[in-house]
Amino acid sequence: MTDQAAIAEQFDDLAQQREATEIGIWAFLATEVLFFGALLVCYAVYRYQYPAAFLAAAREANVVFGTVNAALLLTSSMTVALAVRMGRAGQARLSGHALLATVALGLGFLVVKAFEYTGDIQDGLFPGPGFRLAPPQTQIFWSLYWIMTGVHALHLIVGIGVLLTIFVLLRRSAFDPRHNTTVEVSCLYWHFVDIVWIFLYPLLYLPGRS
Amino acid sequence: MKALFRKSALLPEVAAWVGLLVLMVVSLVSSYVPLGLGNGIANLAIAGVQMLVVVFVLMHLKEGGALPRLAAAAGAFWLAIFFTLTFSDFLTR
Repeated sequence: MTDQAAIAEQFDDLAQQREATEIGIWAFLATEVLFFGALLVCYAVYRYQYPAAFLAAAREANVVFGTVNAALLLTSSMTVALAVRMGRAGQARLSGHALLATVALGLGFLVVKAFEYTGDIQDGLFPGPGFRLAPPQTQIFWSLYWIMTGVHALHLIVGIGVLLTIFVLLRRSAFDPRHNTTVEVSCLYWHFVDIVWIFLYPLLYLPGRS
Repeated sequence: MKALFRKSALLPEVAAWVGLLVLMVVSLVSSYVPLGLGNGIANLAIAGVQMLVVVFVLMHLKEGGALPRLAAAAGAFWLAIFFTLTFSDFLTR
């Protein structure tokens, strides 16, 4: 594929095309920051109002599963960054391997999460009838836990789909990763999902341990 | 896969990964030490550092131009406004 073929018709050159797609994905991620930001502000307000209930509630979260998942996602951020580096260097095969490793780590996260959710439900940690903690404000924490981790898991599932698509396109040589920002843009989204967990982990799993 | 491991040794991405895992363990261990309010502050400060490592090293923002950085900063800017205005209410009741 020549350089010329890699440029979409609305752009003058590769540098302009690259910058435009980078601004685009960062602007999208800024809207995602505000999406999760609303949940974080909600969490902050309620934690400020009911500090004792939040510490008591967070103590019940499964810190082992949470930590394993944090490690899995941090590792996946490295493999996805390697996919970008290999792609830029024109090593499409290695880039694809790094993408597959990332997908595997993402699936591992979901498996751990499934075990964790099952345990939480059996433990009576789903808000509503049968919720076992007191005071009642602990339900606010656990509502936020289910919403935040649930929305995060949805983002992760989308990310897995995106990375698998990119992997297939790379295999078919549908684009040249040296000139095309498809790999980079998708990988930035994956990093964002990791960053969300970087904040959910200390907010949902670590309070009230000492 | 083997070639991937061989080629990736000693890259900044791998160094960043080691740093991120160390920070995660520090955060985890620190949360079992009674520090009062300091626990939450330490956890969030560490998360902030982790985020900066991911953004600048792994997301390669360090190598990007000014405009992508500006677009990225916009997210943080509006989030700061969100928190400031909300808490200007709750902290002054």
